[in-house]
Amino acid sequence: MHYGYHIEIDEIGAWLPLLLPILILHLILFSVALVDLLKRDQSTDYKWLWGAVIILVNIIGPILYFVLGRRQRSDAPTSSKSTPKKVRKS
Amino acid sequence: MNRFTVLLQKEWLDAKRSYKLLWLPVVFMFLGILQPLSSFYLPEILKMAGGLPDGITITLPELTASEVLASALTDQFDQLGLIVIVMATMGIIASDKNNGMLAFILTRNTTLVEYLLSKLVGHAVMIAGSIFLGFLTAVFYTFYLYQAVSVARIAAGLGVYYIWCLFMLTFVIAIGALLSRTPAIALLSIFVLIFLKTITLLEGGFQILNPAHLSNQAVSIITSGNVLPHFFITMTVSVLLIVFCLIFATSYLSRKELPSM
Repeated sequence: MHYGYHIEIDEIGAWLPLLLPILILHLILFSVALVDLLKRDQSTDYKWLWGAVIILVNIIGPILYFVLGRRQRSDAPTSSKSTPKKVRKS
Repeated sequence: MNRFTVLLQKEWLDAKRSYKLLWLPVVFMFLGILQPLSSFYLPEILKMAGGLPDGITITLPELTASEVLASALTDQFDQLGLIVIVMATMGIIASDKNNGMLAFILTRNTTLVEYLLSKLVGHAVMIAGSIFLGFLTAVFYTFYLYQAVSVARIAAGLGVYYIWCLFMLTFVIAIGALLSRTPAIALLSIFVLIFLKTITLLEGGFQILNPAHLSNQAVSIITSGNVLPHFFITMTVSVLLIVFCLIFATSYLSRKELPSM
């Protein structure tokens, strides 16, 4: 019984055309998420944490960042800009 | 409808800024690739991962091309895809409510109906594009690895499936109008939608009233070219439920959010 994958080099050649789209899509998500994280003004802790998530969690990491990680900033400026708060009935 | 186009442009800009326009199609393309590839290479993947212990043999079912496409729809799009759609749309009303944008927009010259319709149309177009792209990649892979399937069937199946997606979207919008916390919205809508999806496994007469049954109809259209019985009743019920969700969201928001509207 052994663990891990055994792929010969010439087998990779046969698989490559099929796997290439996945790699390209992953690279797009990964780089856009990382560039966006680096451009953001957030604390260093925050950047390290989300950077680790983006890099280490395949495919789902960047998406988690887009869904959850970006919300803090988009909430922060609007609350400080004193936009009118929710108008309630009387 | 000039104000409506302005609101639509706002939706478009919002989708671009939040990168929703990028990641939603990409996720569906991943899901589309995953199913044909994994079902085609399953024997080799098993062999590479160490193989089966001696003496155990399993026979994998021979899948036809249309079955692979259908399972891409039910296994990938209906589970991960459903969660992704809910995650992409859970904040669309709630975030506007919470940061005061909803009240701000409605003090302008717009009506609630225009606002909700702009949300609906913007996201419906985005979801349609994502599902189309995702299924297109699945079709390419299936055609390459297996053999061709009738394109008319695929288009018809996808069209039927899209009505179910539209129901998911309007349901999330209705829940979003009702609640104001995003995690609660996501949890509740994922729970209800997956519940609806799960009870389609049970046989029973009430299935014809279940919008999730449309994905089974889509599978049947793709694999056999025929619809299951009571197709038009399910279709009508789903469209009525979509309209009902929208009316509910409009009336609830107009009663709750604004003093006079």
